[in-house]
Amino acid sequence: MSKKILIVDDEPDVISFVSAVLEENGYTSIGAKDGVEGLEVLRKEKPDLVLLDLMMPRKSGITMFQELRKDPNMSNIPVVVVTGVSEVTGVDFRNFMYKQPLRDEKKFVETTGLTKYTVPDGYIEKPIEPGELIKVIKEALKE
Amino acid sequence: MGVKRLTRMTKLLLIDDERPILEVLDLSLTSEGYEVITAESGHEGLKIFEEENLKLVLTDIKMPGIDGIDVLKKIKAIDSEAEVIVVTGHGDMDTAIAALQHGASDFITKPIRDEALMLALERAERKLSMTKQLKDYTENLQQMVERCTLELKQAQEELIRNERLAIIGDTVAGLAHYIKNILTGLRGGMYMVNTGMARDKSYMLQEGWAMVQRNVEKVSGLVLDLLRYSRERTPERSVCRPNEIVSEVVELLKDRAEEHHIELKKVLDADLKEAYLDRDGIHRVLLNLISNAIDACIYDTDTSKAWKVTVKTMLATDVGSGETILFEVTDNGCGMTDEMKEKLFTRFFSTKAGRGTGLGLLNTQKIIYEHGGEISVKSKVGEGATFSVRLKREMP
Ligand SMILES: Nc1ncnc2c1ncn2[C@@H]1O[C@H](COP(=O)(O)OP(=O)(O)O)[C@@H](O)[C@H]1O
Ligand SMILES: [Mg+2]
Repeated sequence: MSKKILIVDDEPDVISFVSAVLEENGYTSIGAKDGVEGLEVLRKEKPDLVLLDLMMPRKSGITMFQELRKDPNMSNIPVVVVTGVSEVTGVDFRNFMYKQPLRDEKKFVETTGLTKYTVPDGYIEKPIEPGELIKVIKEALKE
Repeated sequence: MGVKRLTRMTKLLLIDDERPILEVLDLSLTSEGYEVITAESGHEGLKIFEEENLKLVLTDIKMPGIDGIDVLKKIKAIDSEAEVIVVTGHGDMDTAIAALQHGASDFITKPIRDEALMLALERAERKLSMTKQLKDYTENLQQMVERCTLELKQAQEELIRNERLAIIGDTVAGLAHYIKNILTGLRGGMYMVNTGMARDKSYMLQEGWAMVQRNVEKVSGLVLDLLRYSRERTPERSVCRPNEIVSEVVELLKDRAEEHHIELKKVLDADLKEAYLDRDGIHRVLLNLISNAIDACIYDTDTSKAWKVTVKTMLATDVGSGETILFEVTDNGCGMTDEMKEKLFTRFFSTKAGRGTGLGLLNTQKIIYEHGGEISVKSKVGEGATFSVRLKREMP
């Protein structure tokens, strides 16, 4: 059985492209165009991993991420955050999530008081590069 | 902490409504060598900020009265270079992001740890000194530019006369992100075409090719928009049927509306038959206005709404001024603030983060003015918007 990956992105082009890359590497995929649809599909399909765009209209990726982590049925599904957010808002999201230079997760949890569930399992910046995407996914799936 | 302090006595304004927190932070920051000034409310904080010459502020977010985000906004409005660090609640990422988007230089979460606080402060200070350097540098540059400007005055006058060109030059940077998105689409499409060919998967090839085409379409649309905007032209009028143009555009956009559960409706005035207009121009105008209305629904966060976009035409006969054609595009999407409304027709302005160019309304307005017509907008945040276009019928 190949692993199933949910792609949440409001840009249909990105969903098509990423699912092609995933297919090439032996994964199956499903797409959702926003956070609301994403959570629905997530509950129904129980994917093995979620690729989540952070900047989407309506329910933002961040809100969806938090809801996912709060739901005990889904909280252990690995999430890889995909975003071009730093470029758009000037917010360096990697820095934001991990509070560099406290990149060490344990230290991050201690220092910020955030729970470990607020840290995604992987991070990739747009434009998506196929090789890097697969590498990050494999790491998040512990393959 | 071991890291060397960048400045000797940095003044720091501390705003928090909880006295004990203020006292503890005051002590610990004073011992780190800061000159700390405290304020117990947003109001007091802003007053001090205006009186003293401050550059570094640490403010709590949750406060009665003026809250931290407001403090941040006001401080940034007074001095955009001031560094503001906000203190957010445990795990409150949305607020943290909001603060960062409003220009906070950093955030720390409660409970406040010394280490995180010092890191944030040091980063802010480093930024301050960089900003200062940059400013000195820019001032030098400015002198040079001024000298050049003098020499180039004549040449430049000609350029400045063409206001539209100046706007384009100013904001080409804003388009870079839009173009980059298109490139991403093109690259994705090429990847799919290549893989489809190599693996003999025709569906992938087809999908990839469609993606390439769509994105090529977008580039040419952009180029056309830019050309249209930079070029003076008189409308190429012909006798045409406005209702027909509306139907065409609605047909083009109906799939997109349906996909996002938006009802797209037209209400056409049967008395409006023929008019003497630039057909392509009016097509463009309606395409812009209706796409924007659909986008406004897509970007609306209130999911309890039944979204609806209505396009109306009307033929009005005024005794004095003859026959007038009215196009009206109404949506119940996200709406706009007054501040946004002001920018709509004056600058490249887009809230669509790389998905928009901000050229749509500029061109819409230009086409309508060239027709001797008028455009106006009514909108309320959260309730929607109505764009109205008024044109003389002017038969030949
Ligand atoms: N019907 C509408 N409702 C709310 N906002 C709108 C509407 N039409 C336009 N806007 C705002 O005006 C901005 C500029 O529109 P436009 O010039 O067409 O550029 P673009 O659509 O490429 O962003 C949009 O990004 C949006 O913020
Ligand atoms: Mg537009």
